[in-house]
Amino acid sequence: MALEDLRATVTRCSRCSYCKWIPFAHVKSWRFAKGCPSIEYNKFQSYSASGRLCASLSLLEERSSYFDEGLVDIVFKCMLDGCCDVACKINRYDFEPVEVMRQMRFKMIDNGCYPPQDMPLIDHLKKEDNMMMAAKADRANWAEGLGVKDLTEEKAEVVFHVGCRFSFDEELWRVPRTVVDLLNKAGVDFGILGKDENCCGGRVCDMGYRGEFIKYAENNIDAWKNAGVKTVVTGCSDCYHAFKRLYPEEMEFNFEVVHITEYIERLINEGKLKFTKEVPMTITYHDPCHLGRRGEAHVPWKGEQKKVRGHVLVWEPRRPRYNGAQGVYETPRNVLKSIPGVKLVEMERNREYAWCCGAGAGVRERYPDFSEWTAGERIEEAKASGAEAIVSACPHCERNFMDAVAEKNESLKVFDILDLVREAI
Amino acid sequence: MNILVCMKQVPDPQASSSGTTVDSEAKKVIMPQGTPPVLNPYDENALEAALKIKDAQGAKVTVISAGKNMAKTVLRKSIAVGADDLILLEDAAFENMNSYETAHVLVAAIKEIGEYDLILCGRQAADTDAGQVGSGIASILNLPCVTAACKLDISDGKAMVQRVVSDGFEDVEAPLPAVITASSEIGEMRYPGVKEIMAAQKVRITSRKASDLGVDVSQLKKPNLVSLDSPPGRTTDCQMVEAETPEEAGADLAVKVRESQIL
Amino acid sequence: MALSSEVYEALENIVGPDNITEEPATLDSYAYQWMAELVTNVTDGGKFFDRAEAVLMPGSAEDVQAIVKACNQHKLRFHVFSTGWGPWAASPAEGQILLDLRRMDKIIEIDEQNMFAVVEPYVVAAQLQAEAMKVGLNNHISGAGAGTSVLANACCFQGGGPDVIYFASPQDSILSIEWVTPEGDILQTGSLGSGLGWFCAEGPGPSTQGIIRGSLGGAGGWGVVTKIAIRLVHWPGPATLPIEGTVPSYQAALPEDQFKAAFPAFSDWQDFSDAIYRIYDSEIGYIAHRQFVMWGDELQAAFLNIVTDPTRQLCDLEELLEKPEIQKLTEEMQRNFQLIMVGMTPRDLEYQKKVLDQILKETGGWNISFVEKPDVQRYVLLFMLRLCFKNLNFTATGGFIDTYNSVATPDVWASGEIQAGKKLLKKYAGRIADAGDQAMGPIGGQGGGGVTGWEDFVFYDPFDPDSSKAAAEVSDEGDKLKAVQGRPPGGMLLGLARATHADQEARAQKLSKSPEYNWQRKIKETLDPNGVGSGNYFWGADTSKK
Repeated sequence: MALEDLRATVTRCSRCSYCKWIPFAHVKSWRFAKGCPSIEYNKFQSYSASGRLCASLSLLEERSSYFDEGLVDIVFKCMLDGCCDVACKINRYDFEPVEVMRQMRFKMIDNGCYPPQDMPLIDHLKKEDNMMMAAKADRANWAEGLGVKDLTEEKAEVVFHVGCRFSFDEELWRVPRTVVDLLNKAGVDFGILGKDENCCGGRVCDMGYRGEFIKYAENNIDAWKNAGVKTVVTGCSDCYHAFKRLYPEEMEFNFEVVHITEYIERLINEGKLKFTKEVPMTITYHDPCHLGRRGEAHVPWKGEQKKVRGHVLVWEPRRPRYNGAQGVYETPRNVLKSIPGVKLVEMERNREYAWCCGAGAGVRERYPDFSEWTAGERIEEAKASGAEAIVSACPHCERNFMDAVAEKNESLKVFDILDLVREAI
Repeated sequence: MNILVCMKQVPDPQASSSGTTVDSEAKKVIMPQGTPPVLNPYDENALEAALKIKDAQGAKVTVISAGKNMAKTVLRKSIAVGADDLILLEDAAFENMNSYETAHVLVAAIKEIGEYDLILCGRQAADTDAGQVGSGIASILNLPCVTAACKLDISDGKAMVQRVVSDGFEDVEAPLPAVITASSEIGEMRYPGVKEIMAAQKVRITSRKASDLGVDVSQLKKPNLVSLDSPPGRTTDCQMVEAETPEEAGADLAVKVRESQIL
Repeated sequence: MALSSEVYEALENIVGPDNITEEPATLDSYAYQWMAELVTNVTDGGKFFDRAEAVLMPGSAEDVQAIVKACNQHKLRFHVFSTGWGPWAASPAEGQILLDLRRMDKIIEIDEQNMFAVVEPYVVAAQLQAEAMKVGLNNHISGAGAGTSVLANACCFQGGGPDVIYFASPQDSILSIEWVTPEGDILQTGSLGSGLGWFCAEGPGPSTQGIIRGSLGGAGGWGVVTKIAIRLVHWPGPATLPIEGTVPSYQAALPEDQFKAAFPAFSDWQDFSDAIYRIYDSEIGYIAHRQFVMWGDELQAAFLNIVTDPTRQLCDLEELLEKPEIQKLTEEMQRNFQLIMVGMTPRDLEYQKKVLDQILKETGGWNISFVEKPDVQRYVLLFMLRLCFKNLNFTATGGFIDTYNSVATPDVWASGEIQAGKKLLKKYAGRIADAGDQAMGPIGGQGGGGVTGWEDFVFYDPFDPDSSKAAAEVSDEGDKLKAVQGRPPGGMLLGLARATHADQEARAQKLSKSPEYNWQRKIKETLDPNGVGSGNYFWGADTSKK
């Protein structure tokens, strides 16, 4: 699929603006009705999904150029969080707005038109295999003293893929360390790739550097094959999305992918994990985009669009519909609800229409002000829900919230689900 | 001292090989989608050589690049690391030029600049590996040319160059102005900070078209690319030599290698 | 033709550098519009109207005033829009600037006691409804749906919709207005003009409301309405819509003893028309609309099955159409409309249900049982009460227009025009979606009864040049049919827009049938002496002199 192949889509946009809002059915207030951080912050039409579709047609018709000054921000100043995609597809069964925006990015990158601030990040990634500007040699420091099996030397059916953020963000090390503890307690035979673990490539793909992503996907699959891995467990939603959706889309992929919250729910259901302590706290859960609406599993499909009854557009054979319905929403909530003392309240925008944390698709690195503003909006919404803490299931969301809370001097606490699980055991 | 560095934007030589394909019909290499072009690594070495001279004795470093739809963000990296000027020779006619055409276009710009003491190029481009632009420029301008430089010192209006040759090194002296092509041993290009990268975006750059330079590429005689094909596929087969002891395994391996006529 | 640096700087000084742009792809994102290919294909255009010279984003009435004054000073034409959906939101000619009002997005006040709200242009209906419901009130939502501007629907363009039987047309619900005139003065009407607040429109006697709004509204070329007060109605339901269900088949689980969706259906058009009279007379119903026939009377049953079931897709259409129960439902729904009854108390709803039963008995009609299925009931309630699925108009083929439309007393349903519309669409079947009668429209059209009407929908594929051409032809043919009956061109101004792009003569002909458009043009000539309001489809050559 290339942007040229999406010409029909970008010609059929109804320009209705549904992509700028949460699904209208779910609007509960004036304050939290908006769904797209990109247009809310950047204002002009070209910063919405619809605007990017229109701009794509402008590019395809050579009315404007990939090299025009200003186009870089239009294309990349967006988290690809996909709320637009959900809202659009409520009515449009033939549309893929996020796919158009991804292809636009690939095309811009192919032309060498990207935010200049990417340069050190991407060059570093190529050298050190991580997105955190850190040294590859330090990747396993978080696991020091834990005695986790090293899958570069031993074998195990389960690999715990830690991800760049959890590996290098010291303040968050408590989370992967808890995962190790839990998996050990539950008697799971698992291991990590340690220093040789690679970036999943998911974020860099969303940033537009699909070429880099392919390299990492190939490397990771090889490493898992060599270690006899059958199941990949991760605590990072970006990694989850990469493994669950992007890898099988691009190459042969025969691994079970499980987010740690799914694994924990499984352990609870099997009676291998019991909560004994009370955690008295009112919390709200933030759905990470890549675990929720964008975390739908890839389903192989080959077919084409055809028309019936004159011009009614249908896919033949039936095409998998990625409209947010199959995201992981209830599992993390089930885990939270099973912790004694926890009172879960919802923010106005939740599940498939949650507001993004602001970190995704490289925005945190490329446009820190926009990223922080987006997180700040979510913090306001969490406060309005009456919660004392915002809990998520992705280190990128958590880091962005932690920074926004500190910047705004807020008292709202930021946790990973694992933090509460640890307290309850 | 005025140093001109000729640089080319190339497809990333480090791109995933499995995603790279050859379109024989269009005679084009297709990079995996979402792979940005980069500065030709050997040209980066050339720029580094120029910057070292600038550091040591002061110089004005001007980067020249020719092509169509050039990635300014990529080319501005030269300014971020310390080049003083960037001249882009940008024209639809400059698309897919061969070495000979490129040398002519670059020379047109070099003549326009007029004042130069040293012209630096990379020893070859990472995409075509032709290695002819540097010598082409020298030939058209009738200047001395030293290729594959791994060391470069400038003093007393002369260039002291060490060349990489197949069985060692060769020291050459050349009067200035001269054209010197750099090899990787001359040093990796320094890395710019984010601040420098962002500042470089704001620096004014010069753009010249074919008509500005008075060159007509279509009038040049040139060799044609006849065909472009993927390398033949390679298959690998792994056989484990099993034996009771490592010594026996070693002996068996030697026999197998000999039998299969690998050695 | 770019703006001169002098003009650009003058405008930039008003809104600030972050709120003005000349970036080409951005300008194209505004030039791209729904229906554009139908308007511009007469001049070989595509999805893009003329590119504006710049887009500005004013943040206040003062910003707007300064821009309008600058436009008068520099003789620069401006065009203004709020949510920007439709060809009337694009710059109608070259050399103009666009004002995007999205920064003016506040609900300034909801007066619970006096039942009105004060809003800025970018407040959309869903937002106001969500806030109004918290205090037991509700607002009209235009037929264009929950994502369109409350202010623009009331003051600037069209704006009627399914709920007018109870809510009244939005132009009848406007209280005070704040308007930046085409010369840059700020006019405050009604009680606001007297410094008494927002609660009352002008009157009795002549009012400026007819000037500001006219018949259809100024559609972006006529000063800038920066705030309005709008009347609200009672909402007896919960403070927040109780939404359930899986995307995209959301539902509203509203109390059954106060909310009821019915699909009254009839065996002939005379009964259909009689029932509407009786509904007016008995004053029942909160919303009354012939809605789902938008998919065509031959496809509506199948489509309704698809959209109410989250596992279904459009590829199920043909299989569904083969099913006997769908065929039966299709037959049953041929002459049906949607009636949403909302009881202020459970007794009120009981009364309304009994009245409907009696009307159906007297007219030989029936209520289609499909809507009694809980999932369908809740889906339909949500659909009609929030109009949150209105873009389903685009689902079938990616594009739609309306054409041969009617606004008249309920007798019109039995006048043979429905059949005429269906015949017109059938003539183009294959080049547009083959769906049958697509006459969608309000049962209580204007101010709660007496008038009803419809738009004949045409589903076409904007990516298919022949399909687009066919849609344009249907529109032209529909206009001709209407002209024979002495009715003005309709179809969301598409006919006028096409004519504008084709030639002035054709436009003049169309306008000569439209005294209401000439009225607005005359006023504009007087109040916009520098002609800085954009050249819109109503104004231009003086057709009254011909």
